[in-house]
Amino acid sequence: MDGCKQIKVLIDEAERPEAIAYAASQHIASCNDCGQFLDERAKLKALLADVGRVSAPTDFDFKLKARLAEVKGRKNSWWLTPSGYLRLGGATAALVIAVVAAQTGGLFSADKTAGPVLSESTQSQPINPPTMAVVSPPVITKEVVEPDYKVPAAGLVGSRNNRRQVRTTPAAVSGYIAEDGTMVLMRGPAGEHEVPVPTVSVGAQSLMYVNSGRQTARAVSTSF
Amino acid sequence: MATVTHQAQAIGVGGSRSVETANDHELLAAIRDGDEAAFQEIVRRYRNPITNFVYRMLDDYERSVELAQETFIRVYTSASRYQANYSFSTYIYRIATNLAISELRRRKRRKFVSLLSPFTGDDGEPVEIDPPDSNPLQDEALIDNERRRAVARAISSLPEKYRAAIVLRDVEGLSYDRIAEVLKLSEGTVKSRINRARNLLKEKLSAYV
Repeated sequence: MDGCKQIKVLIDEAERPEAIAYAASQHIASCNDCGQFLDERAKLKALLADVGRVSAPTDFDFKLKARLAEVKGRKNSWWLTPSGYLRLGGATAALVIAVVAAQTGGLFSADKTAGPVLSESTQSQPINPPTMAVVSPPVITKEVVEPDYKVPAAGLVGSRNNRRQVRTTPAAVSGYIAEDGTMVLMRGPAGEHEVPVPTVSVGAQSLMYVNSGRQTARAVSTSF
Repeated sequence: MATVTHQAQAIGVGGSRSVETANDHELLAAIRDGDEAAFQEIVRRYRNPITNFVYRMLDDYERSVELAQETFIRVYTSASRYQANYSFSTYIYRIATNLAISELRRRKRRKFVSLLSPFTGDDGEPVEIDPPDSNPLQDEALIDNERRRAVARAISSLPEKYRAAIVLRDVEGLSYDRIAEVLKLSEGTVKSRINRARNLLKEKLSAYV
């Protein structure tokens, strides 16, 4: 029976009954089951071949041209379709978001007073620059004294006993806004030093002056 | 693709060859270059086989014509993406098959309850109960007509995966390897599906076989 199964596969896959191999045809001649299968398949193929063919209607080309012209028209004015509106709307929204994000990030700021080193750090870490990284290592000098950056030690954080008199050069802190601010004692690799920070009142006054395009000012606002 | 572009230059407007003598790949390359005559020639060559094939898949002439036209529109609009890795007829039959199968699935979704298909086969596909009419017919032409209708109904009642394979093989006369390319299946799977389809047809057409 296993042989019959293989013969039936051969019959089924043959392009024409006469294309069946000689050995298989000998088996078919002597096997009623396989012979009947061959007859059935031949009749079935004849039925399917006789089912008739339909042709395209005479106006097929004309209608096709009309549909094609419609498709071409749609393609040329895709932005007038609902999906075109959606695409345009999406692109506009993305553009607005990009502009707002760039403006918030200070990309369009005209304030160029910050030093080049600070500008580089703004580009590389635009979102969350660490306060400690901006001020350390402080340049310690004993010669230059800048009274504007020196504030009485009231309300300082850290050990008062170990606190040394640390002053920073104007270049190093040029980005800070010192008006009506206070001082925070920060511990760095070179020891503790004082960093002036502006007072920020949430709700009572605008924070925009703090954030006027300068990296250091934004860093101060996030440290509160 | 460079070869195809070169072929397009040969049959383009004012070219040395006419569209009638160009092969399918050359015509496709010309269509890509905007040659309308090349597209008309492709339509002339394939409109009848494609219409017939879709008709055997759907058993609905009006819809078959629409889908055949949709097939040519897709050929035209995607001519720039056509790659001559295999024969164009395989490519166009594949488009037509996909459209026909999508149409069959759309119809199946719409048909919530069918009184004709209360049963499902071994593979979960609905099986249409279509007993052959055993009443004698007087006129021989009517008999032939009725037989053809019975065969068409039997084909259209096959599950779609078997239907595409059997129509491509026994109605359109494609070889197994080309059917495998059209349906993106292995040749073994194609042979298996055709065998299964013939067995189902034999049951449905027992009065004629």
